[in-house]
Amino acid sequence: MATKSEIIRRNYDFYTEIIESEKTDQSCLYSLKEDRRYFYDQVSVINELDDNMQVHFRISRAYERKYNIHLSSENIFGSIPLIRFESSGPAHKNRGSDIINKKISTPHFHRFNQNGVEYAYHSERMKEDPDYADVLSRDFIEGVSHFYEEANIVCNGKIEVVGDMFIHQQYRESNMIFGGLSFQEKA
Amino acid sequence: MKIDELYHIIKKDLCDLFSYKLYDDAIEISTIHSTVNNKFVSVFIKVEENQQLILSDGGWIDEGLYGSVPDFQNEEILNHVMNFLINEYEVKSKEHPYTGIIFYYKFTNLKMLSADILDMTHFIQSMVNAIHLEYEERKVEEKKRRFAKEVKEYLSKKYDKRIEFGFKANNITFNAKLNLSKEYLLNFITGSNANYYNKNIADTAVKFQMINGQFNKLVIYDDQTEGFIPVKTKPYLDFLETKLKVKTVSWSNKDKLNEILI
Repeated sequence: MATKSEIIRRNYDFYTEIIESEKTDQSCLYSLKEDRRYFYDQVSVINELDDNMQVHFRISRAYERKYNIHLSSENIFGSIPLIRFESSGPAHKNRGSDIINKKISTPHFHRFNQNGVEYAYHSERMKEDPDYADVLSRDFIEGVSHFYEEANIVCNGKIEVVGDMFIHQQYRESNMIFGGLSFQEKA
Repeated sequence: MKIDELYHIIKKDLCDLFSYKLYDDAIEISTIHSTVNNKFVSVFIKVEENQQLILSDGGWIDEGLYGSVPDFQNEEILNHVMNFLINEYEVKSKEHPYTGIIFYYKFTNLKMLSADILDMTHFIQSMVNAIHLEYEERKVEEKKRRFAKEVKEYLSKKYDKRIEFGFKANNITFNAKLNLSKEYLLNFITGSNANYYNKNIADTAVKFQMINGQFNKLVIYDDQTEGFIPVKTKPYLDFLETKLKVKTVSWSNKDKLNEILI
């Protein structure tokens, strides 16, 4: 079951136009809020086609190198992520692809094709520079900036992410999957 | 080409799909086994001080990295399936004291490593599939409820006291009955994918057949959901119209109800 969107299939030209056209983020500031699983925030993005688009950004509480970014257009496509980035997590299987494009490891982007089916891919920059994937998973500011490139969003200034999570220096540096959890049974 | 060469091509292609990633405390083995929602399963290996090995999902199931997050408490059937898998694959679970994320794991050693990786992969795959199917079911119900609510609000405004919701005819419940100069029995149709959508039409068709002859029949169908795929659904709607004499109105054309109904 691949993710499908009928509304994108029917409006595919407009969908492509929205993604390819230049958009502006006027604040460039993510001021993170938190819930049980994530730190998250969203900013609004506009252009002449659509004045109500949002970029959603969230970082896993458990594992800093897991963060997601996506663009949505509330008025036209509802909550569907039009283009999204995943820094970590399982590789994606592309339906109907040959074996070379079948398995797309993270970090990766997702978009929809003309049949309204979501697929995963690596950006040109990620393909050209094999070390860039590692840079993206270590540095979410770089990740947001790369997402802006890929989604054609221009930011009038520097992208900033602020929040309480940065009090914990350890959080910035950890590359642990188990977070110190011990599995040994106590004797 | 000799036919046994095909085997070697397949074996090489598939083995090449395996990959790994290093973490400070583990290695992630990204396997070639995937879930129904197109995620390749990863198994994490952690080496303990005593050289014992731990295989785990890395908390990814509970964290929702394979898609929807399980809700044990509220889902009796899912709970049953998940417990079955945990027992069957002899997997343990442990909650992280700070993040509250549940890690599934099992101990192994070098001799059993690959065999146990295969088991752990199948465990994760089955768990994610079960959760995903449960989630799809819930989405279907949710979609029906939301669409019905929207349609009801519209019809109430438009017809006020001339519409009765949840009307029973011959003990069969319909979404509504509309009392104009003629009486119409009315069902709403939606679905989160083409299969569910067409099943919904089929259910409605059976109901209409069972009360045949007594009322005029009408369906309002959701043409704005991703489950509405015209090429797949059109034959079903045509069947309603031609064989069962049901009037059909798409949600986008709701303003035309006046022209259609008398």
